Amino acid sequence: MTLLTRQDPATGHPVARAGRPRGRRWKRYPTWKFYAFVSPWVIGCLALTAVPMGYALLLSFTDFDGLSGNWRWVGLDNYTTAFHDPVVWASLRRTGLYALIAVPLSLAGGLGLALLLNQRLRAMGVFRTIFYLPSVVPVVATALMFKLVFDRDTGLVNGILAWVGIDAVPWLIDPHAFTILIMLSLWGLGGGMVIFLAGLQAIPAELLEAASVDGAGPLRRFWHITLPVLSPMIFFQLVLTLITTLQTLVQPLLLAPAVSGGAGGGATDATHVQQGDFLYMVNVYAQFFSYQKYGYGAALLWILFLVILAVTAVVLRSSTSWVHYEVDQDGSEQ
Amino acid sequence: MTTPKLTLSNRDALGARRGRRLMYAALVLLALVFLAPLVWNALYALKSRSESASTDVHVLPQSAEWGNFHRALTMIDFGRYTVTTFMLAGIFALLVTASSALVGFGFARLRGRGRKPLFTLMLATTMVPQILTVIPTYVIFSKLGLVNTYWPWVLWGLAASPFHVFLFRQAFAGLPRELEEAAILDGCGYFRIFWQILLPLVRPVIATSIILAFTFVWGDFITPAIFLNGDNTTLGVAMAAGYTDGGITLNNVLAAGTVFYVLPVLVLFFVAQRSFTRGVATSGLKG
Amino acid sequence: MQHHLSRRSLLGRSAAAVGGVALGGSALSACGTGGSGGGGSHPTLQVMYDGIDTELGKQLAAFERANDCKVVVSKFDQVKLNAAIAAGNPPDLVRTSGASEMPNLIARGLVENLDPYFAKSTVFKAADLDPIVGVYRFDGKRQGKGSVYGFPSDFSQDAMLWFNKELFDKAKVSHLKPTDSLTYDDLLDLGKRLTVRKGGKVDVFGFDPVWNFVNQAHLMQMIAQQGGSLWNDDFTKADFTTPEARRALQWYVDWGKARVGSGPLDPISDWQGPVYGAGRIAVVSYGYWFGAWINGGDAGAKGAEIAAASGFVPAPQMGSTRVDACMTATGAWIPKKAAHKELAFKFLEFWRGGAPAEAHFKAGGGLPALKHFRTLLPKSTAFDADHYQTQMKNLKNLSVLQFSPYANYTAVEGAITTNVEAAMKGQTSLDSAIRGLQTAVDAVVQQGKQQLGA
Repeated sequence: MTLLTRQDPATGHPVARAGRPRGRRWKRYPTWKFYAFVSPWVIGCLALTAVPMGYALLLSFTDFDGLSGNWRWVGLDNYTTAFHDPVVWASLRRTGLYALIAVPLSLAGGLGLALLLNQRLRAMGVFRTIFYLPSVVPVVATALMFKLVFDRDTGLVNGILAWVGIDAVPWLIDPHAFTILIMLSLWGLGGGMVIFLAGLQAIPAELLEAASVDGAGPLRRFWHITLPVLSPMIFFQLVLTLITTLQTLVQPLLLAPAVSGGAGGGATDATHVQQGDFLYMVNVYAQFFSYQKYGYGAALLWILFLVILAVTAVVLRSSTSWVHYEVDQDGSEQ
Repeated sequence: MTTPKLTLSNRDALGARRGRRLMYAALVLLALVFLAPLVWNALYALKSRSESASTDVHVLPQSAEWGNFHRALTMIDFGRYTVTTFMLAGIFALLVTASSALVGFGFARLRGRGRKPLFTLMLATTMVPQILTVIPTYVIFSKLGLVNTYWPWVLWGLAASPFHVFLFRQAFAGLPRELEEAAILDGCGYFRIFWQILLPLVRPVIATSIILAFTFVWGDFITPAIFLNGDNTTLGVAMAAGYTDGGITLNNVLAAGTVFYVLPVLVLFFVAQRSFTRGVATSGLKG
Repeated sequence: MQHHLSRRSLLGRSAAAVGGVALGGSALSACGTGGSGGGGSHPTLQVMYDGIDTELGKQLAAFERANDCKVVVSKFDQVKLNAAIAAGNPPDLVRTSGASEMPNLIARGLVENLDPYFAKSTVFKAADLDPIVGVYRFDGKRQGKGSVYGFPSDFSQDAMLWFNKELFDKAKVSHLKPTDSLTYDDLLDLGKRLTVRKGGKVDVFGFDPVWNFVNQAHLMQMIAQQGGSLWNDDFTKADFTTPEARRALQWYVDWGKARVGSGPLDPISDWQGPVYGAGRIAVVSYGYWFGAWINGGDAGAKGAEIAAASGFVPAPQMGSTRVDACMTATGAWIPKKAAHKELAFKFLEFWRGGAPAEAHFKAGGGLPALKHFRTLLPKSTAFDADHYQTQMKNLKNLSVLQFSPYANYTAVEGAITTNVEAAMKGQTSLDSAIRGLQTAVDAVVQQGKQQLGA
């Protein structure tokens, strides 16, 4: 008995697609409903993203300084300059390294914590809150806290080292600054943990019970049931963490040693960011706000966007082999 | 059903107890590491300016400066900013969760021409650094007369966020096809399937979405700094701007303010995270 | 089904909301440029200057009542400023760090010429204006003369020195005296004798010239003291290769390598103030305003102790020409496109010409740009009186440095920091650092000339 013979026209399901016969399967999923559901985002996206991006693309072909009216078209000059700029390449390499280390660690960490804390044991709520707490603290404050902890002369860590008789380590400057940056980003594991916790809830208990009755130990249950069911969420975290990590800007700026002597208002200045923390976006920020080169900065932003796009495409492509969906994502039935 | 998600069979009972103790020990250690910067921050707030800058590092302050906490609450209108930020974050969190759930459902369970490219496009918008969109967005909102108001947050909430859409999409994608089919057999329209059947099954994700969105607005600095002004801005920006003396930031007072700053969201999270453990997922086919 | 309809109508409603706002918004902006200030009673004054509301407290409400307006104070944010200018609705009053920023801002046509306002003013009288106001003057070519484009909150001679007498005693070094003619080399030696290191930490910094804050100004001063000049006559070229410039840069590299102050190899997390207040800096390079900070609001008992132990002497010299300039003169300017310029000027008069100014200068927050306020500066305690005397005697050496309108201030600072720090860390030689610096600043000027259409 097919569904079509049970369909009642009175329920309002259109039977025919407007001029697009695609086979009986398609008649169950009218396109307009899809668009009805996704329309809020489409409208918002166009206005708030597409327009600025177009503006930035135009900007990248000029030498606009952000304020004055005297600018000229320079065509692809900004892009060729970027291609030959060693600073750009160095920052790109550093960003790649940062992502390569931070992303897997934060995924594994978040997942690990979620697995540990998913049990209904005592004080789990307290632990969950403790691990999520850093995510609640605004970025400005977290960087300040890390600086206070790792300050060479007045910080907690060197205080402990001194107590044990070890000389103070200058954590916040090269070559240690990079490690501190990674630690700061891992401190926010709680966000990922929360997402994985939610995902773990969706695993049907019967599946796990049935498996343990069949004699599967915890490791096999994890590998064959938990992981596959969780894979959409893992994929989600991987892609989004990768995208945001490649765009990291604020933490390196905030971790840089003090800039002005207080009297200048403590402005964040990209020139004091340590080499180890000199990520791509830091250079972009410098181009915009230290050197007033809006055109060049816009070109760099478009380049980054394309790099992220390429990297994400690779990850997306690979996802078909390891991400498991109940509802197949490309239109064919499971 | 209320059985825990990860059960241990009886054969592992002894090993389980030892394992559990080890696990608790590890958790406590990790929790201490995670808390260290926050605790240090609170202690820093209790120390005087000159003590914090001393090379002679002590954990506890020589003389507790509770005045910093008092100043944190009085130098700016802390209560008022807390209330307005709470409302702003709450409204945004609810709106963005609602709209993202709808959009995510659409991507996950409905078919349509251009669905895949549209999804990729949505994902692509997250790859656009905020620095790029911030000035043009400001200009647009300025022309609409919406800067220095809360309307941008309402609009952003209604427009859904790719992050939350993606989250819901993944959540919905994992639910069995049978649920839908049964409902269609019963003659339900898609909105009803969304509202009555699938949405309740992703309650933990709804809670997650609300918490994450709320936390985001609560902690966001860049957007309110640009789109709001000194009077109606959020607590975070007010703190960064207000704890000054002659233009110079008073870091000890700022640290004290931060302690108060995290409390509301902390409480909210502690209360909300219980819904993660409520056994929601069932294999239930209705009726 | 009903639900489909209600869903679509919700969509329709939100779309209508956005549309309605858009229409309303465009209608508003159509009613004249920046028109909301025009005839409107009870205008809103946007002040982008951190901490003014904290400073003014209740007096802000008094100003609002007296002028039937609302004053909204926001933190200075470069991004917001750029965005607001781009959108055509800049704040009415904007903070500036002063000397090095103004020429570039003025030359780009962003700043309102305040001559007509000053002419009508009963608070700012021409004879009462301190020469420091020259920082905000520009005649189209050079800073220091011409029309006024802003007003300083206060000023100091920023290269003057504060020193901690107790630390000197501990190191058995005789105190600095205002009548000494200190050279930079003297100070470097002193710094080495006064620095105390232990266990990898620096317990006492011997000499901190506040590297990383207005370095360009310090360099200009050091070169001028030797009788030279960093910039050429029409400010189209900065020459870092002259012997005078080389000597100044060599001194900085030596200082950086000696590690007697907070620098690239000895970072501090906050700024030098709290470190000095903890008794950990022997000599620091700050102006008169620092005296008030040492013993200010949250300083506590230690603050009073340090204040009593602090001495104040004029800036060190690198040559025979005595130059002791003000390098900043933090203040405010009014954007040309601001909506409420008259009101902004009134606020300026109130803030640094009225009761708030009296309070500020009674506390010793800096030197006043209006001469008649000088008598208000603190002299009640022995050390306050001491510092006051030293400062008044040193005022005769005050000069206004002239910055190039073509060189963006942060870009030049960035170039100096990057290149000189590389030499300090031993990564490059001084000569290649100078070459790098020269190239970088030439590019900055080149870009500036293009943008100004010169």
